Amino acid sequence: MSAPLLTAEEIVVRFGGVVALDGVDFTADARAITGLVGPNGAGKTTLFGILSGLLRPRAGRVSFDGTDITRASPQRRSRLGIARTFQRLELFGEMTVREHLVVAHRVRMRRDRSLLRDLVGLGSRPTLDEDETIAGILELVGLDAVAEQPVILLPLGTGRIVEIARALATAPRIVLLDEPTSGLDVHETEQVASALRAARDDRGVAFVVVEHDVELVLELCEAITVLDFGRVIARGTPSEIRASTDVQTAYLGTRAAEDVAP
Amino acid sequence: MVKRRMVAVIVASVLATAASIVTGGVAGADHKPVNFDKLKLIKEPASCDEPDQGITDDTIKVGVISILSGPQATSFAPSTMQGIEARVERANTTGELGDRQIELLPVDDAADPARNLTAAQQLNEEEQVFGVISQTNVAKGGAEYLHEEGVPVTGWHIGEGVWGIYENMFSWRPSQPPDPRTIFTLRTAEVLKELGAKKIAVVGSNSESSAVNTAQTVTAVENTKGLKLVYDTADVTPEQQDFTGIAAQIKDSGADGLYMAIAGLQASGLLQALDQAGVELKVRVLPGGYDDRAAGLAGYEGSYVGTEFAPLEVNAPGHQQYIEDMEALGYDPLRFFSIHGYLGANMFIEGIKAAGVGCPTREAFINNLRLLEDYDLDGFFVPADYAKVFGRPQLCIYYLQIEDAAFVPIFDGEPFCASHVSDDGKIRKVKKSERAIG
Amino acid sequence: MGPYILSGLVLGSISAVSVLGLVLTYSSSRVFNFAHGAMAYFIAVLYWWLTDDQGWSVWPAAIVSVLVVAPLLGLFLWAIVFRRLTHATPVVRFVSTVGLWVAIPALARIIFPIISAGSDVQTRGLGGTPPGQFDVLGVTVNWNQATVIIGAAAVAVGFTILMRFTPLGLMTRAAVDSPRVAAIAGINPSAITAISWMLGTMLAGLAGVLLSPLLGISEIQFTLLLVVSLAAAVLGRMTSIPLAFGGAMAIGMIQGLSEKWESANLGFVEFSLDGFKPSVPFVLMLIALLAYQGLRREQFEVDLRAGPTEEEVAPAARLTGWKAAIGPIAVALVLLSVPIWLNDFWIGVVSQGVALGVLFLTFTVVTGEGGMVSLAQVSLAGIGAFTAAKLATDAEWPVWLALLAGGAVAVPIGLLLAGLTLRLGGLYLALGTLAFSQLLRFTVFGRDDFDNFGSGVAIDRPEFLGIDFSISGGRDNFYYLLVIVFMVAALVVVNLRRSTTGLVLTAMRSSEQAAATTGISILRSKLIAFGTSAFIAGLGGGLFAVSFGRATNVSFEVLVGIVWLAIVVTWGVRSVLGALMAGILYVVVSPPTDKLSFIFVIIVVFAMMGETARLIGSKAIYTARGALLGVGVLAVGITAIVLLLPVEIELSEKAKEVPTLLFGLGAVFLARQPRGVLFDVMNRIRLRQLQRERQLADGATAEAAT
Repeated sequence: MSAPLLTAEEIVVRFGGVVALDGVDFTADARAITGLVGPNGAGKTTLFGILSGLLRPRAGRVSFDGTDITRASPQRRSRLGIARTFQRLELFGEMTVREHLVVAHRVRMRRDRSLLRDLVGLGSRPTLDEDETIAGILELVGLDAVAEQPVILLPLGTGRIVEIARALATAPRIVLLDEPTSGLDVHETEQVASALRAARDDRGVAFVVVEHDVELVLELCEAITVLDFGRVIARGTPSEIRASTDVQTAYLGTRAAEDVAP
Repeated sequence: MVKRRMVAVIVASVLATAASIVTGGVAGADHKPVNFDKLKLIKEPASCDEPDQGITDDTIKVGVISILSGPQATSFAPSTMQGIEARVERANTTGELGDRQIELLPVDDAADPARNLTAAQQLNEEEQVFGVISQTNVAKGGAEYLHEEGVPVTGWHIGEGVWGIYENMFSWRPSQPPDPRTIFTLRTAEVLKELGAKKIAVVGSNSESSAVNTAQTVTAVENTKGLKLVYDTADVTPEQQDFTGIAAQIKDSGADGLYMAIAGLQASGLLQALDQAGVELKVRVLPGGYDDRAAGLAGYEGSYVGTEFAPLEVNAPGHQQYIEDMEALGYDPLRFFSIHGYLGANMFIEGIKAAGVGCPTREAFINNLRLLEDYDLDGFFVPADYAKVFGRPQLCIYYLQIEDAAFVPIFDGEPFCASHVSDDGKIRKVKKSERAIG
Repeated sequence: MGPYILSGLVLGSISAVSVLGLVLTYSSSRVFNFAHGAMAYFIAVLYWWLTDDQGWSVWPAAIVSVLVVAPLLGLFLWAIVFRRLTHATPVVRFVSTVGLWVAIPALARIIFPIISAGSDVQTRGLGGTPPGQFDVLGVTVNWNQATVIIGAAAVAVGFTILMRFTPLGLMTRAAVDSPRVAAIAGINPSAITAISWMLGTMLAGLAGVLLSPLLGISEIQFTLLLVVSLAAAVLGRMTSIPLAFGGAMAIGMIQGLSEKWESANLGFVEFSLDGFKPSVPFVLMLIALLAYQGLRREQFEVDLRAGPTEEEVAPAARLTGWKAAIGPIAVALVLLSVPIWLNDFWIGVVSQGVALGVLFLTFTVVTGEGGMVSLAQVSLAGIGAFTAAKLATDAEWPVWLALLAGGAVAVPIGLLLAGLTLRLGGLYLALGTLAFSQLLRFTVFGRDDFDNFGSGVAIDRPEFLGIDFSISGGRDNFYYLLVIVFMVAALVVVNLRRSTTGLVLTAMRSSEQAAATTGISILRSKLIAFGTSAFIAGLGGGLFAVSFGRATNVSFEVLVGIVWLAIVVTWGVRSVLGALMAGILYVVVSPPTDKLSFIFVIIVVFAMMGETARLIGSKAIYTARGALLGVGVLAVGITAIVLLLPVEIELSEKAKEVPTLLFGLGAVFLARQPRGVLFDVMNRIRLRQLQRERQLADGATAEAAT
């Protein structure tokens, strides 16, 4: 078992009179893929927002490797080693796949600081280290074939993987994924899953995956947390979750809806 | 690193700005006064084999720069062109210029100094005109260029200093100081006093001529015994039509005399607002407004307007000729801007005649027209001596009162002349020699 | 006190009626209608024509104008323009409505003979001519003023009843809140939007009819109306009708009351609130924008990103190595050879255009690279111009140094602007920069020693190395100097684009959220974008002023800046060549006084519109080659006809409005060509190339699979 990397304790979030999260605890271990699931309206998105820095909790703490990051900005979290992807793809317009990685890498390596040199046309040559790192990531997630393509021309599944690759280029210790397989077919889902496994195994990157696809989560993750109505109703390994009656009860009503694929 | 650079940039900028504030002064005209004492008549050349540009055997090309578009165009156009056309038409049909006819080329400068320069360049270089008639309030844009190119320019000064700086420019009323903010008469205050007002309110807009006029009148009122300045503003915007606030302030100030450096519908709006607020004003004076469309405007009744020329009601031979020329083309003569256009065009024709209709040259035009003395276009205005009044402020203005929507000359149809001038900050009496030249 | 309150009530009521229409149309379609004032102008001109020219009496004329023609106008504009804009990017929405802002008054002046009305125009009011007066609480009110106030009250009441108690109102509120749910409930959101635009135009028309008897019919007056409506809309958070209405009344009241205290004498200190009254809407707007940005952006601005299509965001034609230099070198050669084939006059004109091209590079940086619609660049240019002019003329600095100083002085102001508008995006950023710009106009530029009552500050041509750059002898040299400066500036911009900083700006432009999570400092990126573009604007503004000898206020009016941006976007805001073309064309295309200019204008505008292909009618022609061919045919055809005709084209006053109208329409049709003409053509080539490559690749894969 690896050590806890990203933890949330006693998180309370209220929107007006509605209690979205009611004293929720969450842990993601290093070098592991942790799943976060639950029926619609359970509070997954809200908790994700707390972890990624989009939201601030009414009460509770978020820590990363011992540091309190409850109020840290997205930029600060990035510097500490937390990356995230977006459910609605947030790619960078006309840039190519490679350029996404380049900009992420250079920002991480603080090579984006030389405005004057940039204005006179010096200082934007790729370094050997950069080339190698980027080539490595591209190969790892299987994007080397489309590296020079503008992302706008790529299908959705590939786009998701580009987001993951971009996140990896910031040399993170943990990546938070927001419904990475929504809208993808079986083939593309498998591509995403392989990419995640490869990154975890090869680079020791941890992942938190918020998902609707429970089967995928059971297959992919080492640890799973299940939310319902703003509370944690189950936490443990896939087999524990599979056996949990609480989880089955929570999902019973929504199981039929999930079966109707878009 | 970035922070340090940013700080450096900011410090440098602040220093630059501070430098400009410390060393900056009022941009004033830095020109030596022109001396006309040595001018002698230039005779026209014997033959016209190599005429100046714009002159052919049967044509003289004359450019016209005026305000033909934009918000001020409603005042300037189309009246200005009508006046110019009327005068030029007579010159062309009666053979006043020998075998040649004047061809007019109007260009718009939209009251923008940059466009004025472009218009001047276009006329001189593209259209190859002989000279220019300028009826705009931004002649300063192209004035230096036209001066350097030796192009004769006639028109109306509208208070711009360049007409008193560049000797190639001839306003039909030639008196115009190089910097109207430093040399002006106290006439506007004196006429208010003469008409019986004691507590004066002055209202102007933020356009150049109006703001200068307002500033001059404020100084004039403050330096005239028996008058007290109770309210002044130069903040009216050209598009403003709601004067409820200003009317209330004038009422609060207790003014009994009002000088308005605004015209047309704006003046009407202010006057109506004053009526609505129940303000009793003995005297209300507008510098412009001599226009039959204005006389009937609400609120104008009883107000006084001023004109730089003798009004048509004086009915001198010059006026009769003007009316005849305008009516020949079906134009309404009683228009302020038409008269100015007519007089500006008349000046150009006088210039050609002075240079010699056989073979007019630019140099002869500019030189000989300057020697014109005692010229009044058959009673149209106070006689002018074009060399002597150059760079001097105008002393005399005619005044009329609007009664029953018609203009009635006051002071027995004689012009009212200033007795004091403000000369570079000093107030002094008008000298006898100055009064003689008008 | 009373008269000031009355004045305030009147001003407030007119803008309240207007802002109601503005907020309604924004709520239902998310399109901010910069042409709102222009539509009010159109209806006011119609009303004038009916009463003054056609002799109708006021009430029938008002009813026909406001209740019949106005909704039809709104429906028409919705059908051909606004409907398409809902899913366009903020820049395109902005430019299209600005195009309408320019085109609609030109159209009004073509249809109705208001130009020849000669003197200032004022319409007859609903309160009688002259309006009767009566006393209220010791204040005399005339019936025109009373009509305005009663009208606004009636509109407020009527609108509330409509929205709350009628089925139409209910459906509109539903459609505004959630179009998708409304659609499921059987409400046609499209029909609702159309009705909203009709209502919105009616309200604009009513404001125009109420306004014109009191304040006259001039374009400036209606621009002012728009500006106050803008501010009131912002106060109402863009979507709250009661707040916007109240905001408009508040602005009017503050302006009215401020007249009482214009200059105060506190005994020991006398100060004057010059410029306060016109600043009021912008001060309030800026305060509101800054206060509201504390709210989460999701709540404040609903960004309808339906995602750009492949066609819209095709990749730039990217050539590498020596091939990449061909285009720029060709352009440089053409530019440098210009003095050979143009005469002195036209060299002077094109020089102004090149100076403007340098200035326009500011948009290439802040809007093209930074993705931010900034309406303050023109004021930054003005700051640069006036600083350079004062330093060169009064402090006698060498001109080239003064120009650089002008650029430098603009930088801290640009940085300040970046900080103020940090959390604003899209429309709010545009409005915030607009407010900032207008405040600069009324405080800094209004200073007497800058304004000189309109004549501005003179600035001479530069002098160094003994070369003559003056108007009389050195026009060629000055032109070359400007071309060199442009090429250097363009090089800097291209370097920026291709550098790491450029990548960072592209990232920020594409997705601020993702950029932030990638570790990019949004503050730093915006500071860079605004700072660099401010320097370019300041330097370009100075050069522009030098090209015609003086820095004047009128050259750097905020509204001019809006049109500049629209032109640059039409040509391609991410292309340095686009900036240059926009600059040269803007100067060259002045109102024509001769045949050739007129032809040139028509050709250029058709090229801008890119609609030549559609006019010719065949789908197959709608390719890059086809469009160019179409333009060429049209150009040759028109030129031949006009040159061969032995007739002098006497351009009537109305004909002079046509180029303005066409320019406006060109910007409007940008909705179909969002990347601008140049880019569009280049990208279509590239796109087809890529598609062909993909087809080949797919074909090869398919073959391999079988």
